[in-house]
Amino acid sequence: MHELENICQRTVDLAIGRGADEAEAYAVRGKTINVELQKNDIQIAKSMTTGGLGIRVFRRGSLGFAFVNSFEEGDVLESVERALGIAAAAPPDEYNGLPDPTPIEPIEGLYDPEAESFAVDRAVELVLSMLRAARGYDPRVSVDYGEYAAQSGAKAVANSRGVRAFERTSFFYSVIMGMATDGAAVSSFDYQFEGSRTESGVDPTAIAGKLAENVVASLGAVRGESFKGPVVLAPKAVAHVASYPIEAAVLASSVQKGTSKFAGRLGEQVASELVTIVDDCRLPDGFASTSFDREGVAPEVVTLVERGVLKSFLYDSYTARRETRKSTGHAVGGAGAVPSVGTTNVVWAPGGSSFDEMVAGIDRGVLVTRFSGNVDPVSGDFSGVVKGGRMIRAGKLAEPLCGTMVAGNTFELLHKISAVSRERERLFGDVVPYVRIDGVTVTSG
Amino acid sequence: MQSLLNSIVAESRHWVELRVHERRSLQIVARKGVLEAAAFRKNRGVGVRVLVDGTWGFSSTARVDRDGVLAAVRDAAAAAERSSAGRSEKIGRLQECRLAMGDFKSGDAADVACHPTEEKTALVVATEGRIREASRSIRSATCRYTELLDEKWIVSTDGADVHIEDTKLEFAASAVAERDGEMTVSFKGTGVTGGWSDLFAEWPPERIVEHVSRTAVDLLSAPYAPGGTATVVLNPELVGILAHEAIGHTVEADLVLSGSAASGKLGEKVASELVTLVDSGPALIGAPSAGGIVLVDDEGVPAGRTVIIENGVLKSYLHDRESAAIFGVAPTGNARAWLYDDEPIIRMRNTYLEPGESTLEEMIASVKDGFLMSGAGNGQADANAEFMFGVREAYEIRNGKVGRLMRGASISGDAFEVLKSIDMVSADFEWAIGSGHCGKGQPAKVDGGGPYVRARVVVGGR
Repeated sequence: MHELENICQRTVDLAIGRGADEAEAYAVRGKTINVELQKNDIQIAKSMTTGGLGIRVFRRGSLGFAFVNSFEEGDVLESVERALGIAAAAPPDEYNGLPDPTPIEPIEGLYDPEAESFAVDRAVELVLSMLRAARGYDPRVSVDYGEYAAQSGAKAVANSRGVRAFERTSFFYSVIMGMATDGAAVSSFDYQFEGSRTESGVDPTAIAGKLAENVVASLGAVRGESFKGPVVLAPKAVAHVASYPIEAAVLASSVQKGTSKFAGRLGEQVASELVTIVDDCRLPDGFASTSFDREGVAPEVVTLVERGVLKSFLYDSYTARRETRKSTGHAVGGAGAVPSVGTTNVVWAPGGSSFDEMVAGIDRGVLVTRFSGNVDPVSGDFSGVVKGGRMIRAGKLAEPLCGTMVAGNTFELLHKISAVSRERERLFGDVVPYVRIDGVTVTSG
Repeated sequence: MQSLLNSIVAESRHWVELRVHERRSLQIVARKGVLEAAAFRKNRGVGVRVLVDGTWGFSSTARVDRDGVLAAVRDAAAAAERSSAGRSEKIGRLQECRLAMGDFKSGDAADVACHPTEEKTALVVATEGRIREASRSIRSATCRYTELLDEKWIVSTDGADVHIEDTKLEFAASAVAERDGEMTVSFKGTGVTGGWSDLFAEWPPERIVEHVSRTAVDLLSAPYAPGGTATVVLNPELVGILAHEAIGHTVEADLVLSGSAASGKLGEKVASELVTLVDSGPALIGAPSAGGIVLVDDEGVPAGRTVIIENGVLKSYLHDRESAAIFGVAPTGNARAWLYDDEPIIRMRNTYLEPGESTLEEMIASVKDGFLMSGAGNGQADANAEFMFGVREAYEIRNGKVGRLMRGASISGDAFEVLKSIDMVSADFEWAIGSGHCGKGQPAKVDGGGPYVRARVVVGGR
């Protein structure tokens, strides 16, 4: 058994010994190497060790929680006592409790053994290659911020009902933000990122190239037109405007709190037939892939929306108990947080058209590369500014846009999706296509 | 602890800064009759920063014994050494200044400890329940209490040698009212650097219950505010949000170097002569328990009063020691780190407008057609000083008299243009934004406020 599992089991035993009716311990340990860029130069290099223990106890139906970033005996004991103290003060909730064990099937490829020995030198090399790629594309490109990070570690969970699980983890990611300036002309600000469970899954020069291409293309932007018509949302805009409200609405916690527009609509058409979305916790190399959730339950791959029809909500053990059903294994959160329901990797099924075909079919429309504004996940109302936008005229990408706003309601517009692209982008764990939506209100100020 | 850190610093070949930070926090949240979260968290560790070959290296670990700290110093030095060849512009030096020594205490941890977790939990649960009971229109309510109990030791090669104790508390509540499918939201929060009694000095729980329940219900029958440019009287909360979000971030020296709206404008007139805008570590005005109090920053620089705008003229940016050396000025004590594993970056503390001489009554009486606005909702502000904030409560003013409550209002524009339009400033003063966090990669506890001001702004409505 791994040491981290032992720490969890000992903590559970300690809590039961001190008077808890049920107890759970979740532990993480890791090492992070990170090099950051600021204003076209290296800013700081970091090497950090992390660890933490989250303790959940129940006594007479009341919940107590404590976290400590140490596994030392004195610290663990203090935290167990604090958790029990909170449980003593908290009102009971009949749905409180912990899950029973489920068979856990390991997932391959979530841990790159190279991560353990990953050195600062390598991160410096990669972050500088990213900077050179962006600046080399065009001297007008300026990198405001960037980073390359590698993390290696492990997580474990144990509870007093017999749950026990352990998994090694590695994460690699890279981020770049910047703009282009040409005399007094300043481009739209852009950012790109890529994350993977393996070093080879992240290509910092590729995201630098994408950033450079986007910001240079948005130089010389002009104010567009006001109209109601088709827009093409690029994957980042789809994630912000469409996925985000959907992800909030499919959580059983939202349904039970009365903040989900999908409440009571299982089996109904909630989006265009072109839309199929799966929560895939077993996605190979998925940033959020995991063989057990925050409570130690093996997650199910859940189809959320199939051909536009709402198929399922996501549950942790608390929300499942409220509906006397099984958890889907979607308890999320770090060691420092009380578990709550959340998504893992949200994967859109590919559509039938290519991005080029999508654009070719539009006489007058707007490509929204990125969206900056407010999205209310409860009502689905959104309004904000188009970033890196391009006018589409007669089936071709035309002038770059500035000062253009889009507004509408996500839950209404999901029905007006008229094309989904074959091309999809990985946004950390999520896999997202380009989407064409008709009848969007576009305003130019 | 201090002797351990001092001996490690003395042995180091490089410039080094050691910051041991222990935080004990308690958070209690009740929503719709359920205790949604009640959590104790303890974070203790050391953050090590080194400067080698003009390049920063950072390392952190939870091991604060001699071996643990030494290992972190080695890791930080290795990180700096291996990245220095890639850094083209080396850090020449950090600005020299007198660094703090000794003990510094803010807040009142002993007073907080006198109130057991049971009492705090019961108060949060009861407050949330009372809001829902206040009216049948109220569908849900939330209440949260947060305490942060900090202890820090900072020792650096340049002579910083301090022990800091700080206690910050927050209490906030909100209500959602509904009628005929329409929903309205209200919110009120308070945050202090202080003890239990300071937290409730201005806004005891019963006053918060009364405010959020009444406002949410009143908004249900409020008409939508009309849009357009208008003369408005902004309350201390909106003045604080404007000072912090829309002006304050543009004068953080790291953002100035990236070309923010305040870049290159030192000595220029950027606001009305009635405007003096300050960011201060200690609370030198108003209640002594401002929510963003910093006596010594995380580089060991004593945190004083920084006048950003004096009588309308831009006087200073906010600095850490690195940016102060670049600008050739004294550091202002604005380097802050959230937890031990965060490195210090430039952050605000308590950001406010100095009071003037008018009374609120004469300001209202002077408005023919406009709004009295209070409470800041969601919003955003950019480094170019463009901002948009939701306004929680907008009362119309007609012919000098406060009239109906209106909903759905927002204010937007260029923050410096708004400051230029200020033509009346009241003699009141209130800290008003201490219940939340500022985010800049890492969180920070800040406060802000000021008097009431009269200004011209673009009002968004329907």
